[in-house]
Amino acid sequence: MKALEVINLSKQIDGKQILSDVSFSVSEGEIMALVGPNGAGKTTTLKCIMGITGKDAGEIFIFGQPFSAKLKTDMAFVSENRKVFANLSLEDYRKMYKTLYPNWDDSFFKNLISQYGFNLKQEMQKFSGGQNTLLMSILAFSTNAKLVILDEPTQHLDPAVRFELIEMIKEYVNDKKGTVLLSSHEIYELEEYASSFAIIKNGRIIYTDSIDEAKQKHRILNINKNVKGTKVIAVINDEVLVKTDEDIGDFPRLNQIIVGYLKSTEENF
Amino acid sequence: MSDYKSSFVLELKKMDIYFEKELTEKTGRIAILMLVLLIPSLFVKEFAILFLSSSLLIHDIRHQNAELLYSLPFSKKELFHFNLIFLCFVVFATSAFGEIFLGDTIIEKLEFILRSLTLLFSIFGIQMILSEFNIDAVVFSFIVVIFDAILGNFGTPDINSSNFNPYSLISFTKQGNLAMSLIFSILICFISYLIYTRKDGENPHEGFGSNKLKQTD
Repeated sequence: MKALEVINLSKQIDGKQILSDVSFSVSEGEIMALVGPNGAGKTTTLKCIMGITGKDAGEIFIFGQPFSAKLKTDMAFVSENRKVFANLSLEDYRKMYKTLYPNWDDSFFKNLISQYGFNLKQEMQKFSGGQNTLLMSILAFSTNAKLVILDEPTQHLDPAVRFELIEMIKEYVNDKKGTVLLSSHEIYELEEYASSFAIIKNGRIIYTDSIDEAKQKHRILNINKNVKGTKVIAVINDEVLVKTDEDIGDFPRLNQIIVGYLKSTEENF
Repeated sequence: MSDYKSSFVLELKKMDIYFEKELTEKTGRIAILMLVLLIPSLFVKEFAILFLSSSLLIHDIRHQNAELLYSLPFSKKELFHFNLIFLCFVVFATSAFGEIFLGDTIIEKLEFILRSLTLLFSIFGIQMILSEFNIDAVVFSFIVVIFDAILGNFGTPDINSSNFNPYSLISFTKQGNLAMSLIFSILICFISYLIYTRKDGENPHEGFGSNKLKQTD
């Protein structure tokens, strides 16, 4: 079953077309990464999915149902800017989330809070940026929401916290059978935990697939190699990323596929 | 029936947690304005309501904090209702408390409370409309109030007078006719509800125009 289906999503802001016919889907139990450069429309896409901002056109289905505010109890969101309510302590946040999410897992939350030694009485705004990200993610995963959406979750995190967060994402999908959609431009780490990806560029999805399928469909060839019979995606330094059914060249890494598509001047594949 | 009851209980819990969040976040401002609202003068209440109303959801919209609320399981309808209920409760309670110490009749006490609520509905409605169109709700609602006061004070609300000014009947500051001005205020509030709940977010295809979202990535 599809946890999320986005069909022809379009959005203009101040007359500028930010999203243009964005379509992709996330299956249940998947970790999907929405990747693309700054300004590509990743955050706007996630905000449209959460109903934080309206869409101009298109449809969004959450577990087969058109988006409505009622479905938000099955969705948890961690925003990119890590803004928090002023003067509210971590305990206030716990209480709020516990009330708002019917499947809240208090023991999961408390275990993690004590594991990391966070003080429940401390105001959220007084935690550091990295701690804040970790806390907002812990809160999101404690909701037991079926779909967790994370906007740039590993941005500006130190390696230790980044590792912990990635482990948390993997455990949430493996143990709790949840689904995760996240945006990132940290393409080198995605292969560690994502199962599928969608590349967004200038408000359009230019390629989406599972990571394994994408690797099967593409090859890296030496620039001097004959590329006849393949579809050239882009030249990356002295290599060429091609799409082919033939068993030639080397399998690409995920970051090579992403860079190739982002470098490509063609927009419809 | 039990589904209806449990969803009602859930709504109450959500409202309670929202009030708690607002009171924790904006304690000082709300406490001071509540004290000012105890003064039994409509003129003073006008200003206190202006600032109190703009301290809640309108403040969050203005400072782009409303996204924090929209990312949680709150609907826009709920947020509008919670704000209005909170403000009505505060204005009603402070007006009723202030009236205890005045020697007016019950009818006069009730009239004063209704006049205070008339001010609230219109000011809250105007501020919500302004903020949805990305206009500074505090500054411009202040201008609208002054404009309403000027317009309402021209002539007289007496229909038989040669100086009759029909607007003074519905003006929310002049309140030439309490019932008509109350209805007019409720109408402003209702229009703001429609705009707020249909613009962006939850009912996006029934949009009312431009979007105030800033692209962040």
